[in-house]
Amino acid sequence: MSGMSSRMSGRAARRAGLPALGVALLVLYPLVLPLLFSANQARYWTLSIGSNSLILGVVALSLIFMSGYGGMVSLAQASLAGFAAYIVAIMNLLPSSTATGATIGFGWPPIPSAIVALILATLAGALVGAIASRSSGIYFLMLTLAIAVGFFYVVLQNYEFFGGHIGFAQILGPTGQPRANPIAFYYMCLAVAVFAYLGLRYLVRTQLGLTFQAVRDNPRRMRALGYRVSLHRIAIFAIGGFVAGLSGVLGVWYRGNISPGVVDLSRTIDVLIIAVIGGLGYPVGAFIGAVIFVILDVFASSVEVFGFSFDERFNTLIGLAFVVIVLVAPHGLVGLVDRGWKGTKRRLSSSRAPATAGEAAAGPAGDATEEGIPAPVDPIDQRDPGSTGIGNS
Amino acid sequence: MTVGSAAEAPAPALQLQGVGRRFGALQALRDVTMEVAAGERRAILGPNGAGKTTLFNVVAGDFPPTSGTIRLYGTEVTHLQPHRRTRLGLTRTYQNSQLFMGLSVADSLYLAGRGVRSGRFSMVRPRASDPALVHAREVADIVHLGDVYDRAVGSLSHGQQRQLEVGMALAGRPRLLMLDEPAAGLSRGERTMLTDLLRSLPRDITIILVEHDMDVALAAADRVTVMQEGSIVVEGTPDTIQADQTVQDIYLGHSVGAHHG
Repeated sequence: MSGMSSRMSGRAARRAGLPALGVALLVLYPLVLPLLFSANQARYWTLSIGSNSLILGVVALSLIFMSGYGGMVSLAQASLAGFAAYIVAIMNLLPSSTATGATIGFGWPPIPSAIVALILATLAGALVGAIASRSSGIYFLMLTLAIAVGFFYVVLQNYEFFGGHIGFAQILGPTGQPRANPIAFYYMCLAVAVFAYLGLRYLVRTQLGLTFQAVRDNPRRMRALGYRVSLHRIAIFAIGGFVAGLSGVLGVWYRGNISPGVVDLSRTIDVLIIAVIGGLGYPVGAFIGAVIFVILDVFASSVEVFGFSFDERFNTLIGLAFVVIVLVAPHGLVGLVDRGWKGTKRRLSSSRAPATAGEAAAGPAGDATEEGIPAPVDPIDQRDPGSTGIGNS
Repeated sequence: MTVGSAAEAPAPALQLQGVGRRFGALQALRDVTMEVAAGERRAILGPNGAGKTTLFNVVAGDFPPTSGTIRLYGTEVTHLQPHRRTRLGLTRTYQNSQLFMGLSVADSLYLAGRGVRSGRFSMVRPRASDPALVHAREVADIVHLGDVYDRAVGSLSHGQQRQLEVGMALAGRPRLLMLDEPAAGLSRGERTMLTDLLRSLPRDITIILVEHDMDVALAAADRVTVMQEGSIVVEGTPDTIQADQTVQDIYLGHSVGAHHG
């Protein structure tokens, strides 16, 4: 008995401990860099690797949240992030300070601009949801893709509001120029990423979060229990829009500018690749995937395989990495580690089966509620096929 | 016939008036008129393809009838969306369990109880003392799932999943409970448990039951409706139904005497 209880408490400790350890390492990260590198290099690792990964991780997190808990792979998340970035620019700048002579602009400070951007990104997410969640499967993918592409052309061709192909420049966040104060900017990104990650982990155990998973598992039954399923689908899009908006706000402050290139199709694909590399079923995979993506992006030029240089061939490299991961680890890198770990544990415990029977029995539900996302689902939304069929009595 | 009596006596739990449902060339339901009194236990029998589940789906609102009207405790619900009917007190189970395989028993029963109440979009975690959680726990004990309360639904046995199916319908505090073959695939012991459960439910819940198992159906029912090819053939008490020659011909077969003898 004592052995079992100590194992149980060890498991609980690991659950609380692992995220805390991760956050601690991320907090220490920019402080350690100057000890290892020159000031320039330390700044590079703080901003271009660290902050950039966190920003990309947050938008990938919004996709993983929606696909894992809502069963909906939305291709509009990068566009919602870009939409928030544009709103920050419009709220933050004055028309006179823009290169294109935009007709609106408010000159608001960064934080109020960001709040407006987040509210509008949430509403835009809900709107995308209201349109897209009426369909399912390949049509759902196509609709979200169409919205993404449509938004790209709107900002490209509209000069009054979105600055056309030039966009906006000189947008500063609350920490000023990222290059002038990289550590402050990094900590802001870290705080937002931790907020988004913990916030979603909290949310999925609330009434609303449970309804998302139930709608994913069985929308027909949800209707029969008194829920208006379409509203819950819209709600998950709104939350996905909010989280993507967080990434967009940080992104525009990171770059200092916004142009249509930030919402083009390749960004949508980037987000999808990051989520798949990390693991679509695992929220933390968003950040793991983002780090790998950014590092491949940065070091593609210095990679050489059998004399073949990947300089200027980042897309080839990331494409290869993507194919390898999909083939070798279809649940992403986090899924690979998670499954490997559980497999080892099972082998270990099966060799002492009698002592761990209680733990094994408690296993499925505990794992389902605390780690990762229960019941890996087909990423494409499976709408209830039975609701329009003939009753089979 | 109906309006006058409805004003005096309490409205029937369910009132169907000439309900029909057509799927293309197939007339799955044909002019179904029936009334189930509040508190009654009604069994619906009939061979495969008789339209029993179609009737359930039409009453629950999965699809509207192509003709006729449906009243729930006097309120017309013919074209009401399914979730609205549930909030009016109609809950149901399915012939093939419709469960949330990724959630736990606790979460499923909690959601089932919350669907008919406000706060469905709450973003605050429920406390352990939350009435909805307490209610979920009570329902779990009623359907004998207390021991597997925290288990994932996907890891339950078939029998336990059928119990959860009934539990989720009960958790919505129904006035009208519709059970579609609740005993399907259950062992003898589990069937007895189900019959006892149905008998133990208070009379302020009206029950309509589709069941192939005659022992379960006749033990639980006050009245029996027999359907064939989308129409009601005969209606009566279990005794008269068992004795009815037409029923024996179309549904029970001539071996029924031997079976019960």
